[in-house]
Amino acid sequence: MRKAPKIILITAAALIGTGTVLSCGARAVAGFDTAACPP
Amino acid sequence: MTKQEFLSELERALGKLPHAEVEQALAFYDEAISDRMEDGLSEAEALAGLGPVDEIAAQIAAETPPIPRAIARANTGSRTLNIVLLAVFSPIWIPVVLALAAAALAVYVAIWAVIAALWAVDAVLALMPFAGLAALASTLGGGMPLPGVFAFGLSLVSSGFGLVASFAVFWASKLLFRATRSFARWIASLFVRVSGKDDDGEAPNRVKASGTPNMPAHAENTPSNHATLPEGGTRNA
Repeated sequence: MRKAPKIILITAAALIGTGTVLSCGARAVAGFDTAACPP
Repeated sequence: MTKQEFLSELERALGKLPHAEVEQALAFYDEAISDRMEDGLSEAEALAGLGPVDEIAAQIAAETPPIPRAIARANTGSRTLNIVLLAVFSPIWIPVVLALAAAALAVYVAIWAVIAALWAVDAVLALMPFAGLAALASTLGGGMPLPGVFAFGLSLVSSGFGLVASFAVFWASKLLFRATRSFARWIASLFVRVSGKDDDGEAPNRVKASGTPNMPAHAENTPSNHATLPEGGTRNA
């Protein structure tokens, strides 16, 4: 139970890191072209 | 002054306090005086050590919860007259009582609603990857996956922040839960003496000075009150 906060923090860091890589990667591959990548 | 005179004077000074409070105070001081006399003090010395009757009565009145005190003050002494007055003024006091009860309930529900809302927002953030996956699946089917990958990435970031925020939400929930408890205690203290410590560490209705004999806060809970007597009582504790 005492390890739970650590596990949650590590999971959160992994999610934020992976998400940033994925989203920035997708934008970069699209060439930061807003027409190709509407969001 | 004899013990009986002291008790009669105290009963008169307590006036319109609730009957149970008066009985409790009289029993307490009866025992207190007896204990002092058993310890070797004369009746006059035992009474002198207790302090002025008016001061004792004022202290007991101050420690009586406001609602029972107000009800006792409004008591006319005649049962019939009480019922008639209650009936005559019912168009006023019934709506007031209902409004106050509704307000108290609203505060309680509002605090719990804030707790629920915080957890709902946190859950939505943390579960966002499911929506991201749906976006990814729909764009993959359309043959243009980049917007889907972008959305899925953002949903993962959102989930990560949701997990981090859960610590803050947990902490806020604890604070708000304490607030509901304090609020419930405050409501209860209007009607009855609330024993134990408040969140600020203050003990309500506790004997304030060891040299002044006051009614102990837990007098209604414990059959023996000797432990709080300024002197002579510890013998029986």
